[in-house]
Amino acid sequence: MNETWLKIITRAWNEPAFRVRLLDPKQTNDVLKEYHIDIPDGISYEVLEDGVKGKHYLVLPPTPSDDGSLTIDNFGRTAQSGDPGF
Amino acid sequence: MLEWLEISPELTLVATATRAFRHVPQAFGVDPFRAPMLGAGAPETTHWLLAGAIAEAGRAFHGWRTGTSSRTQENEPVSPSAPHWAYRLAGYFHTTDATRRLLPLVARRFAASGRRALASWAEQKISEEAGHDQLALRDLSELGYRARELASALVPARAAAWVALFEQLAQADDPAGCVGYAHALERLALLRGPAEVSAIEQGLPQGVNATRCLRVHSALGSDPRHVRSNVLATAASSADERRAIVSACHSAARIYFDPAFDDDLDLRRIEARVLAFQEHARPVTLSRGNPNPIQVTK
Repeated sequence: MNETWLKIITRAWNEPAFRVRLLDPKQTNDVLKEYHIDIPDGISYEVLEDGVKGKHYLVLPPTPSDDGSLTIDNFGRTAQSGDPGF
Repeated sequence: MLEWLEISPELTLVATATRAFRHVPQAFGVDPFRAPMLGAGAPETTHWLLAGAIAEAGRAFHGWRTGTSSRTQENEPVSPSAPHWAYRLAGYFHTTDATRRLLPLVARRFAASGRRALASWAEQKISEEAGHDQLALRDLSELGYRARELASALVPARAAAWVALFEQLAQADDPAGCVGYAHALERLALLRGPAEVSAIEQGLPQGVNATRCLRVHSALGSDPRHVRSNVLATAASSADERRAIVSACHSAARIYFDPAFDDDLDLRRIEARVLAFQEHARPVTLSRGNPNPIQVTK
């Protein structure tokens, strides 16, 4: 995926028209699909150009939900015959 | 303070000082967890990263188990028959024997590469685990079996997989993963408490003490302290070493949870193989899984 993104970046730097389409929120998904990127229904991408007029963006990863928390004890006796003896 | 490990391109484990969670890296743009973990570790976050690696292995094979839903009948301790327990003791023998064989090699390799803290961890382990490879043999003898012969002939699939992993880690370019292997087994051993020991004793002939190995490798033994020392040794290691350790911990935990290694489901076959090694007459109650439980005296 990173390689594909690098190709898109390179083309945007070299082709002003492509850059405009990529930065247009209404067209971004279509541009990505042209690169055979599978975009699930209901997901929309937006591309922001970093560093324009001194403005930079930081991306805050999604806040983890409790559903995604990992604890050991609830799995304890699943493997009844898995006897861990170090 | 954060620590993290890429399990796969689609999944990263992230640990804070209070929890571990799954993080799906973003396909594009900036995601700090797509880069390998950097910086120093800390006992709290390292603890959760190791815990998360084990729990993620369980989740991969058995889905989410949360809160009270974990106390399903499936998870209640069961009483194996004595021959079935003997088969499981053979597994204990193989993994503890691998510890006896491989830890000195690991200690030498850490020392030779100038990693004093990890060498010290391995030396401490050698001292703590001394003689533990004999516990399963003593339990087998107590059950009336030719212990050494039985253990040599029977190698449960899960134990074989663990030993193979340990051998691979011990001989790897960087044997740091051995810390993670040890941690997975010792942390998982803590999930066995008095209820599990009692359930197994109920399936054994009265007066027979064949749970020495289990008790040592359970919450009743010394593993709680060992687990803590594993966490501290890992936290004090470099970021690259911690990644190797937690990755190995995850691999060892996957073997624990993977049902493909449940090779003792055919209890009739297992019991027949085990009974061939019975040394002296002792009444044995075969597994409840058999349609017609019978008393066998060889």
